[in-house]
Amino acid sequence: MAAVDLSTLGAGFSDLAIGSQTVFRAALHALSHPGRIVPVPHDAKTPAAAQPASAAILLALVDPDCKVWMSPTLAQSDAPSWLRFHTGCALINDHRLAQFLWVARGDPLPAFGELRQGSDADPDQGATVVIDVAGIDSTAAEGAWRLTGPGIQAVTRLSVDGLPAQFVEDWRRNHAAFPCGIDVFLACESDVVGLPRTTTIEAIASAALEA
Amino acid sequence: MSQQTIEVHPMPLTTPQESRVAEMSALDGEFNFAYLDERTKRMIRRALLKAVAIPGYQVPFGSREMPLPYGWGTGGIQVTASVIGPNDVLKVIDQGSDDTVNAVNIRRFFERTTAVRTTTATLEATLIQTRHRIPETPLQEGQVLIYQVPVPEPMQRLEPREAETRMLHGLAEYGLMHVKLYEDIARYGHIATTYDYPVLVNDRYIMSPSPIPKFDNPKMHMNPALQLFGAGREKRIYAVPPYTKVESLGFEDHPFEVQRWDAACALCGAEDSFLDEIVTDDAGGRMHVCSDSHYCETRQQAQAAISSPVEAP
Repeated sequence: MAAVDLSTLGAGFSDLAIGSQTVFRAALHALSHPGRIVPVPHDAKTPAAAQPASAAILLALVDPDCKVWMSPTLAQSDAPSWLRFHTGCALINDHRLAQFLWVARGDPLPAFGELRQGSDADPDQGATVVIDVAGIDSTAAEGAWRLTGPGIQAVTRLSVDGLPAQFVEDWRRNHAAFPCGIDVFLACESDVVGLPRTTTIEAIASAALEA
Repeated sequence: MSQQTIEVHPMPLTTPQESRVAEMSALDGEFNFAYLDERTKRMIRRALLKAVAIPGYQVPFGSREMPLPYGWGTGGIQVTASVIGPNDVLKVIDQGSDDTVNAVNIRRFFERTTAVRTTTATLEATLIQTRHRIPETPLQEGQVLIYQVPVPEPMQRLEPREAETRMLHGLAEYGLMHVKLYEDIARYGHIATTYDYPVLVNDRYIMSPSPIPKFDNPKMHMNPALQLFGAGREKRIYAVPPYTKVESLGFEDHPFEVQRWDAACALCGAEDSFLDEIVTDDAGGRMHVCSDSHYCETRQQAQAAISSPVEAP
C-alpha cells in the first residue's frame, strides 16, 4: 500500500462508544429481522467509494483482531486506509482467510464456497460479507425475493438491485450448509439488510406475482 | 436469593447523594460508557451477531472480570453492556422481582456507568436483563431479553468434556439428552426436570434456556423479542432471534408439560402466573404469590382502581 496522506481521510464516529453502539444495534436488529430494511444512523465521514451504511458497520465492528478483505474497487480507493486508521484491522489480500469481506457496488462477489465457513464444531468462524448494492426495496413487485426463516414471522418480501443473478442459487447452497456458512449484510445508502445463514431466499417469478 | 442476604452485597451501599456523586464522576470519564472498554464490546458484539445467525449455538467469547463475582450475572452484564445505548430503558429482574438484591445492584451498576433510564414496567423497557424468569407480560418486537446463564451447556452433567459436547452439537447427536429424560420417566414416572428444561431451537440445536422454570419455556417459542444469553464463567454467548421455533423436549407418550398450582396468587389472585410459595410463620402457614413482582403489582393496582373508583368531579 502506498503512503497515504492521513489528513485527507474522513473522520470516524464523533463519539466512539455511542457511535459504534448505535451502528451495532442497527446491525443486530437487521440480522434479527432478516430482509427488513434498517436505517444505520451515524456521523462518520465514510469513503466515497463505499455505501455509508456498510462503511459504518465495518467501522463499528472490526478491530485489530479482524482480518478484512476488500473488493478491487474499494482496495484501490481510500477505504482501506480509512478503515485501518480508525480500527487498526488487518487488511488481507486472500479472501479465503478473511473474517469480514467488503464488496463495492458492481464488483464481482467472491465465491461463497471459498470463504471461511466455520466447522461443525465451530460454525461461528464463518465469514461476514458486507455487500454494497445499488438499491434495496421491500415494496417492489418485480424480481422480488420471498424470505423465510428465524426472525421472520411469516414471510418477508425484498428486492435487491445490483446483485448477480446466481446470488439466489449461491445463497441456497450457503443455507444448506447450516450450521456452517457465511452471513451477509446488504448496504445501500444509509440502510442495511441482514441475511443470516438461516434465511431461505426464494426468487418469485414475475408471472407468479401477477397471479 | 432473599432479602436477608443484603449484608453480602457485592457493591457498597451508598446514600442517594453519594451514589449520584459516583454516577456523575463515572460519566465524567472514570469509566468508559457501560464500563467495558470498546475493544471488549466489539468482540462481544461480533459474538452476538454470530449467535443470532446460528440460533441456539454457543459462541465462545473472551469473558472479562467484572466488579462482581461469577454467579451474580457477569455474563448477562457483559451482554447488556455491549448492547446498551443512551436511549435504552433498562429493566432488571431476579427470579421475576425488580426488588431483589441482584436486580437492584445490576440496575444501579448501569445507572452509574451509562445513566440510562431504568424502569420496572415490562413494556416500557427496551432491554430486560433477567435471572431465571421470563416476565409474565408478553414481550414485544424490538425488546431485547438478556438472560444470565450459569451453565450454558445442556449436556454438561452428562458429558463433562467440552470437546465432546461441541462435537455432539456439531453432529446434532442428542440421544444422550433423550436418555436423560427417559431415565427421569423410568425412575419417577414423569420427566422430573422442572427448571433449565432443555429446548430444541430452530429444529437444530439443543439449548439450555438458563434456569428458568419450565413454566416459562413456552414463552420462548416464536417470541417477538430478541433473546440473548450470556454465561460469564463459562465464556459463552448464545441467542434466539425473534419469531424462532423453540421446542421443549418430550416424548409422544410423555409430552412436555408446565407446572400447575392448585392455588391462586394470594395478593392479586392471578391463576396464570408462576407462583412462589412463601412460608409466613413457624406454624406451617404458607401463601403463594406471583414471582413476577411488576405483573402482581399492576394487577393489584387495577383491582384497587375498580373496587374504589375515583369519584367523578
